[in-house]
Order: sequence, then structure tokens, then C-alpha cells
Amino acid sequence: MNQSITKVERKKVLPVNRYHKSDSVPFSVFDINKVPLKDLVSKFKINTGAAKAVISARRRNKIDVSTEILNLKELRHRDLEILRRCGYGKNELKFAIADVQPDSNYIYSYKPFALKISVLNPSLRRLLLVSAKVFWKGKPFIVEKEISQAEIEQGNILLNFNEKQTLPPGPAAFHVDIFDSDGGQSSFKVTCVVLPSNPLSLYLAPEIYKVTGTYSLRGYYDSGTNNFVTVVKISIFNGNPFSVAMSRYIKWEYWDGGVGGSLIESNTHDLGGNFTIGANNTWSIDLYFTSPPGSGIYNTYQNKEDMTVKIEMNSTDGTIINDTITARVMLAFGVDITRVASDTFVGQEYTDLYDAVDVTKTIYEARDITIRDIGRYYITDGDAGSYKYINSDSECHNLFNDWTCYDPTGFNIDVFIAHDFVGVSFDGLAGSIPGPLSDSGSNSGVVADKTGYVDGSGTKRLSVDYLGMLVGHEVGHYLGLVHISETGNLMLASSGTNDTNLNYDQYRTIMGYGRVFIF
Amino acid sequence: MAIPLTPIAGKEVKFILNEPAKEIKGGLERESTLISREKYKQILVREHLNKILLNHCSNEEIAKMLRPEHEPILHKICLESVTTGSHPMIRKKAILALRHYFTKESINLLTELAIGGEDEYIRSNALGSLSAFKTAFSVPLLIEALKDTSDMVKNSARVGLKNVILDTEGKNVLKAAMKKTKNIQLKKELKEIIEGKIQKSKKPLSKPRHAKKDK
Repeated sequence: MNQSITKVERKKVLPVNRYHKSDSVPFSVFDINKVPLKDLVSKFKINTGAAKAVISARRRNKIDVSTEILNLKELRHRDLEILRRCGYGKNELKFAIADVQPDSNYIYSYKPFALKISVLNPSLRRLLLVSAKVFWKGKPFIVEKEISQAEIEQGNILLNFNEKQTLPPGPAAFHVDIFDSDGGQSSFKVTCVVLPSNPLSLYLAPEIYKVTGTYSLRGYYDSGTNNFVTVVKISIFNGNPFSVAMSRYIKWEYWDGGVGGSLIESNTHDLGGNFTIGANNTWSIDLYFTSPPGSGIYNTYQNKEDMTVKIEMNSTDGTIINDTITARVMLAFGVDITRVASDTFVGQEYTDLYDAVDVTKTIYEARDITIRDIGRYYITDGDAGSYKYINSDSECHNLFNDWTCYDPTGFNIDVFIAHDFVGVSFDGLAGSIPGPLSDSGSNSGVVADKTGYVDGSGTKRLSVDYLGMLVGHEVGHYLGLVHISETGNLMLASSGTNDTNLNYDQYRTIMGYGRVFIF
Repeated sequence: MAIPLTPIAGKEVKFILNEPAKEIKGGLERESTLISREKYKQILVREHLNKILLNHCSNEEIAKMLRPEHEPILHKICLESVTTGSHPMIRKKAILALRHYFTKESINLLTELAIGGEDEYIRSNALGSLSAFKTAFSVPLLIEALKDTSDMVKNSARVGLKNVILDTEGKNVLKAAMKKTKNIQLKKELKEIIEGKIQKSKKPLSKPRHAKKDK
């Protein structure tokens, strides 16, 4: 039965070697003793008078560390902030990874490659070790090497990946750390598309996804229309050194029991015109399937059975490319995200917050549990009162007691995002393990620090990956999970950005919680 | 008819978790190339310290994990600005951790960060740690911070002064500063702090209020 309807949403495609929006930004950092006046003024937006004062000060004596500029009267507060953030003095204790990119422009599948790591290190600090953790389709692995004196002097480090460390086509994230002899550390994250050596390939993923792990598409039930909606991200990676013309048609099939089992639905979507993918480049769209009652896909979702989705496309010269992915309904829970002291979530911070919630969603979806409903709420500065700054666990419980969201389904967990946790070392708290099934009482919710910081360009941001993990961790407690000591697990007592795994036992625990549901 | 939502607790639902289905040349594992930390003790300490600082536990529990040899590396972390790619939360917690090191070096560094930290998060946390020493020497700095452009820094200064006046000497220093200042607004604020009138947590409500929905 072919009753599902398809539509396409085109996505902005990020550059091949900066493929994830949470990748590190190669901030402009500068050597205070060398940066030209015009750069200070035009590039770093330092007040002209202040910039001249810096130049004049360094003519008198080399500026040892950026704190020396605190004594320059000509500097306004804002200028000081920029200089201290981005400026590096002659004997500065800090050093920075300025950028990480593939050495020969691109990484090709199943071929050795190298990463070129550029370092700003004006005081020639003794850098000892570079370590890159690689996140890809398989298990993460690490490549390390000792840094030579020549590399320190050149400011460029080459990290080689050998025959046994090659990667398949698709995105791969590199988390690079450099350590110096005194325990100093600088970090940088970059995601690169490993281009196919074959040299054209198609890649399927859920609408939002992490670089690593295996995934399913989620059959989302829309109660308003009584339809199931499935979204698949289709990407084509072109490893050719020339453009490739692609046909306008997308052939899709939903199978029961794997491809070659029994066909549930199939059809062809017409993009309305052929298109071209540039040399060593990518193309990406989200394809939406809306499946009404009576359609094969709807019925299969309703029976809670898995399907295999196959997507096939071809270039105009006849090269056929395809990929498959599982589609299923998932266990689900909902969250109501409440910004506490909402006036303080400015500009980019609001976007970052919901990007972080997407990170939380991908963490759970990698274990086939989804966040079905995400409510967006706020408490104004005036109403928030002392909850603007959380400074004790009892204050968290009072917050849960005093505030909730209007939740008609009763399934959503209250998640409060506080402006700042002041003077306490914990940065999140769940009311209890597991949390109550209602939204009332002093244990009914979780709260997390918004993890604010100011980035290299001076923009106020939230630590998207960390906050996504933190919300996932605290919600995990609410769903009944306790701390464990399994490497890489979300519920580590000291879980960091890369600790996002959930194991099968945890999945079973979550399944037993009364606010987790299924259609 | 729409499908109702069903809580899953207590029901037997058979799901097969997704396992890697695709054939990948060379399998799903790659060989790591690791360098022994044996001759790089400082790196080992740093990696251990990163883990300690990320712990989601109380100040007291963090204090139990910290060692004297961590202090110089904590100083390094405190100075690693965002352009080094430092983890903002690790840096924040390193600044908080210095409250457990009542040494000249740590006090000097916290003072430097409280005055010249490059953003409000750094300055306010440095003030918080300085005031945690509950001694009078930080009073002038905390009073100065009441004039900061950031509400977050001002709040830390207020809370910090409240801590410091628990010490008699601190209270006297604050009283003297109040008498000396000609700034009427500041005088009023210091008076409120001395009299304990700064905002406190409210009594929990008997019925929760509803947060507003985003439009």
C-alpha cells in the first residue's frame, strides 16, 4: 500500500572539514608583541587609543604576560577583556591550538591521512604530547604522539593515521588535546567528512545525530493529525576531484524483515530537477514521510515492528548509490525546558540551549529512547528572585516545589536551566532517583547550570555539548539511573562531554519508569 | 481514532537494540596509538584533575579529592582562557577549587582574576572563592566589585560580603568602608549587607506557580 507522502527540506550544508555546528571555532588569537596596530583596531575591535597604548607599552618593554596590560590606564574594560582573552604575551603560560585541518585538504575513505595542528605558542613552551580521540561509526580510538622541538618552533604538528587507522566514508570527529610540561592543556574539536574513495556514496542518518554510534529513524506519532512522521537525513559525499550531476529522483523502500523481506511501501520522490554536487563536497536534505492510518508504514509502526528503509539515487551518468537504516517507534518521555531568569538568556544563548537539548535527544536516541515532546517555558528575572543564582541543593528543591509547567499530558519532566550555580561545585541536580510521577513537591524536577561562558569573539554562549550531556545525566537520574563507573557512560559521577553512552541495563531501568511511554 | 499514549512501566515490550548493521572494512574497531604517561607525570595529574573537576558533587566532596600537588596545575587551568579551547566548566570549577588552598599564590591568582578576569563568569567565581576564605583582606576587592557592570559579578560581591562579615574583623572593615565612602548608593548597599537585608531565599510556596510558555 503506497499511501505515505514525502516532502523535502533542504539543509544548509556545512564545509567538509568543519562539518558540525559545535566544532571549535578557529578564534583569532594574537601575539601581543607582534600584532599590528591596524589588526588590533579593525580585526579585534580594540579602541584606537587603547591599541596605541599597547603598541607604545611594548616598545618600552616586551609585554611578558597579558595581565601586564591591566596597568594601562587607556584601556576600557571591554578592551581589557579582549586583550586578556585573545592576546598572548612573551612569557605567557598559556598556548593555544589555533586550528586543526587534514594535512592534504581532504580525508579519503580507507586511506592513511594526517591532521595538521597549528599552535600559537609565543613563549615556546615545552609541548610534550598531542592526543586525538576519534569518533566515527565504530568504537572511538586514540592516536597520540610526542611533539618534537622542531614542531614546537614551527608551530605546526603533524599527526599521522596509519593503514590500521583509516576510516569509512561519513563524518568523523577529532577531539585534539595538546599537553605541556607543566600540565597545561589546549583543546580543539573538528569534524571532517571522510570522502569516499570509490568515489561517490550515500549516507543515511536521523534528522539530528551524533557522529558516532548506530541509529534508527524514529517514527514520530503526531496526535494532532493521527499520522506517523519519519524524517531521514540523506547525504551524498562526492570524493571526485570534479563535480557530479545527480538525477532528480529519490527511490525509497520500507521493508519488513530487512531488504528482500516483504516490501511495506515504496515510491519515488521527485526533487523537481537534477542537481550538481561540487568536487570533494557534500549535499544533504531531510526527507519527510507522512504516513496516514491505513498505510503500510503506519500499520507497522502501530504494531511496534522494525522496518528497514532503503534510499537509492543515481548520478546522471548511471552510477547508483544507496544506503539502508532501521526505522522504529521508540520508547519516549517528554521534557519541559524552563529558562530560570529568562532575561539573562541573551541572543546566541537561546539557540545554544535548544541545540543542547538536541544533544540530549541524540544521547537517548542512540539507545532507542526518544524525547517526544519538548516544551519551552520561562520564568522572568523578576519572578525568579533568588533562583536566578542557585547556591545550595535546598534551593534546587525549593525551586522544584515553587515552579512547574502546565503539562496536559502529565508525562513531561520539569527541566530547569538556571542562570548560574554560584559557589557550589555541583552543576546539576535531580529531585530524586527516580523522580516523582507528578509535577508537584520538592523533588519534582531537575535543574542544570546553563554552563554559560564568553567565547573568543566576545559572544555569550552556552557549552552546548556539555549542557546536553548534563541535562541527559540529570534526567537519567530522574528516570531511575544511578551513578556507575563504566567508561564513557552518561551516568559517570564525573561525566564529561564525551561520556554519553547508555547500556542495556540502563535501558531496561528507564523502561520501568512510569513517565516513559509508547504509542 | 488516535493512538493513546501508554505508560510502559510493567509492560513487556520486546525491542532489539540497534547494533552496527553495516559492513565496515576493517570492522568497528581501530588500533589506538598511545604514549605511556610513565615519563609524563604532569599530564597524568592533569587528566586526573580534569575528571575531579567534572565531578557533579559538592564542594566538600571535591575538597576530599584534591591534593597539594594539584595546586600549580589548578593555577594553570584558571589561566587557560577560552581561546585555548579550555572547557569552560573545568575552568570555572578550577577557580572554585582554589578556595581549598589558602596560600599566597592562590590568593594572588584569585585576586588577579577577580580584578582582571576576561568575563563576568571568571570574575564572579574568583570573588566567590576569595570570599570563601571568610577573611577581611578581600573586603576592598568585594566592595570594588559592587561597581562592576555585570549583575553576576555584583551578586557574587554581595554574597561574598555577606560571608566575610561573619568574621568580626571583616565586619569592622566593611563598617569603616561604609563610613568612608561618599557614594550614597554604595553606602546604602553596604548598610543593607551589614544589616543582613540582602535577598534571601523565599519560603517555599504551598502551591507551585506555572512558568510561562514561550511564544
